Amino acid sequence: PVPRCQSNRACQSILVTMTDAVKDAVASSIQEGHFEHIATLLDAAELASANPGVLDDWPHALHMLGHIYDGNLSDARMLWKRIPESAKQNNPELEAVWRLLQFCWNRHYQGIWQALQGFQWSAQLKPLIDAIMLKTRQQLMDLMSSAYATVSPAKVASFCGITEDDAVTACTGQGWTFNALTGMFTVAPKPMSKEHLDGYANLRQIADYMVHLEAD
Amino acid sequence: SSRSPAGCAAAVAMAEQLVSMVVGHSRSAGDLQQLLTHLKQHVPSITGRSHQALQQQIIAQLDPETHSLGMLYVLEAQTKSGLVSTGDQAFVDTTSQFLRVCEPRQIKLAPEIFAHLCKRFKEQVIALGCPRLGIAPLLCGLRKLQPSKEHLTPVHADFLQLCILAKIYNGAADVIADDIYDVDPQRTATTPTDFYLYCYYGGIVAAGRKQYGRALELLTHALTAPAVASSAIAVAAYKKAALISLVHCDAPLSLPRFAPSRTKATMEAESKPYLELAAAYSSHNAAKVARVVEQYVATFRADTNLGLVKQVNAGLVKRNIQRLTQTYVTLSLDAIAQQVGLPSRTDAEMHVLRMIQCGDIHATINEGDGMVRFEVDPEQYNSAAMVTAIDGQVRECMAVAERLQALHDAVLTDKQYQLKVSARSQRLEPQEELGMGQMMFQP
Repeated sequence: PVPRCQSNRACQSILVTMTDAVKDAVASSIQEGHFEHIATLLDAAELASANPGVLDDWPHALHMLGHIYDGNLSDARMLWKRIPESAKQNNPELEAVWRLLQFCWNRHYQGIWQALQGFQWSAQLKPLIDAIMLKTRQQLMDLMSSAYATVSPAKVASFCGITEDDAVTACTGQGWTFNALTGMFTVAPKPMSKEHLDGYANLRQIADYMVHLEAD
Repeated sequence: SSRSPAGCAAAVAMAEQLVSMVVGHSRSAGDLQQLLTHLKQHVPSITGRSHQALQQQIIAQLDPETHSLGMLYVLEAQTKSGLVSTGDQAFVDTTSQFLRVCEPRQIKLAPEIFAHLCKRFKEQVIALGCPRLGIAPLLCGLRKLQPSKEHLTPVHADFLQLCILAKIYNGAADVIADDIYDVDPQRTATTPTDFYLYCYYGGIVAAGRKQYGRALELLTHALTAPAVASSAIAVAAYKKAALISLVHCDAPLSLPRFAPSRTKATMEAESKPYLELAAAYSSHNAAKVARVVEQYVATFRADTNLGLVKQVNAGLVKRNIQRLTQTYVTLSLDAIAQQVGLPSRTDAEMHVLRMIQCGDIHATINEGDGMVRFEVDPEQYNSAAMVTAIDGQVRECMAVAERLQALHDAVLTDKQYQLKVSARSQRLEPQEELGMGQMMFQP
C-alpha cells in the first residue's frame, strides 16, 4: 500500500508563494500517492515564473526529493546547483536531502539508508520519503536476488534498511533456503515471467519487412 | 536630420501610416505580402536611437497576436536602436509576451528578422542576470519558426545556451530528443554557426543528463560537418567528444571517414592533453591515467571538462573488472581488488555489485566463500520483450531507408542536377575519342 499524506493542510503550507493551481496540483499528487508528478509540476512552475528570485521561497526539499523518486539524479543535482546559497543556510532538512542525493549518486547503499532513516523528516515530506524507501528496498531486494549466490542476513539487512530478523523473514518469504552451518541464505532465482508471444502479430511484422525489402 | 521639427513630423506621420498599414493588412496572405514590402521599405527610417519613443508608441498600438508581422519588425528595430547594455526589462517583458502569442503564419514570412530578434532577446535576458526567464519564450519561438519538428532553426542554439546558463538542462529534454533532418536556410535563416552551436550545446546538455550516446551523436555532427577550416566550436566539441567516447564506448574517439581531413589535423593539434589521456586509458593502467590527469588538471578545468575527466578515471576500474571476465570464470574478491588496484575486498564487492545493477557485467557473488562467478549473458533472445525491441530497431532502419530513397529521388528529379549530368555527358563524348587517339600516338 502506498503511503498517503495525512493532512492536506500540512502539504499546502509549504507551497505558500506559488500559484494556487500549482499548489493544488502538487498537494493532490502527494495525497493520491502520485509522487512521480511532483518534479514535473514544480519544474514547469519554475520555468513559467516571471520572478527572478523564484527559488528564494520554494519547496526545495520536496522538489529535489521528487527528482530522486523519479531516479533523475542529474536533474536533482542541477536543481541543487541553482538553489540560492541563502536558502541552503539554516535548512537542516534540505541538507539531509542533499546528503541523500550524494549517497544515491555514488550508490552507497548503506549510506542511502542512513540518510533516509537517520533524519526526523517533517510531516509534509514523510509520505514521499516513505515511498522512496519502499521503492529503494524493492530495487535492492531484486538486485540481491540476481547478484548473490549466497548471502548473509546481516548483509541483506544493511542493504535494505531493515533489521536482521526482518531480513530473515523477507528472505524466507522469497523462497531462499537458510544454511545454519554457514549462516548464509542460498538465493533462489527469480521466476521469469514468460510473456506469451503473439504468433499472428509476429507474422504481420515479418510480412512488413518482406514488403519493404521487395520494394527496392 | 530627423531632429528637425520637419523631420520629426515626417517620422510621426510615417509611424501613423505604418500602424494603419499593419492594422489593415494583417489578415489575408495577399495583404501580408503587401505589408511585408511596406515594412521592409519604411521600418529602417524609424530605426535609430532618436526614434525610441516613437517605436514604443507604435508597439503600444499593436496587438502581438493579430499584428505579429508588424510588431516583429518594430521590435527588431528596437534592438538596433541601442538597448540598455545591463538589460532592458521592458523590452524583455514585451518580447516574452510576443514570442508566446505571435502567429506562426505571419512570423514565418520574415525568418531572418525573427531569428535576429530571438538572438537579441537572449542577450538581454543574460544581461539582466536571469537566463531562466528566456527559456519558455524561446521554446515557443523555436516551435513557431520550425516548418516541422525535423527542421533546425537559429533559435535552437540560443534556447540551449539559456538552458545551460540557467542550469535547467531538463528544460531542453524535448528539443534534444527531436531528430533534426533538415536545415532549409531559406525558411529558417539558419547559418553554419547556428548548426555548430546547436551540436555543441546539445552535446553539453545531453552529457549533463548522462545521455552519452546522444551527446556523442550531436558532437560528431559538429566534427563531420563539411568545412575548409576548423572553428573554435569544433575544437571544443572535439575535446568533449574525446572524453565522452572514453566514458561511453571504452575506446578513443574515431571519426568517420567522411570527417573533413583538414580540420581533423587542426583539432588534434589543439587537443594534445586529451589525446594523451586517451592513450593512457588504452593502456588500462590506472596510475598512468591518474598521472596524465594531474599533469593537465589546469587545462581540463579551464576547458570545463574536469567533471568528464573524473568520470573517465572512474570508468577505468569498471573496464578493468570487465576485462577480468575474459580470463577468469571464478575469482575471489581479494584477487579482484588486487588486480584492479582497489584497497579492499569490500570495495571490490561494491564495484561488482554496482556493475551488476547497471548491467555492465553478469556475475554472482558468493558471500560464503568470497568468490565471484562470472557468467554468460543469460539473454536467450527468445522473449516477447526482445521481439518487440528487435522489431522497433528494424522499423527504424526501414524508416531511414525510406528517407534515403526519398532524398535520392529528390536529387534525381532536381533540374540543376539533370542539367549538369546532361552537360557532362555531352562534353565527354567527343573528348573520349580525342583521348583515345592521343593515347595511341604517345611515344
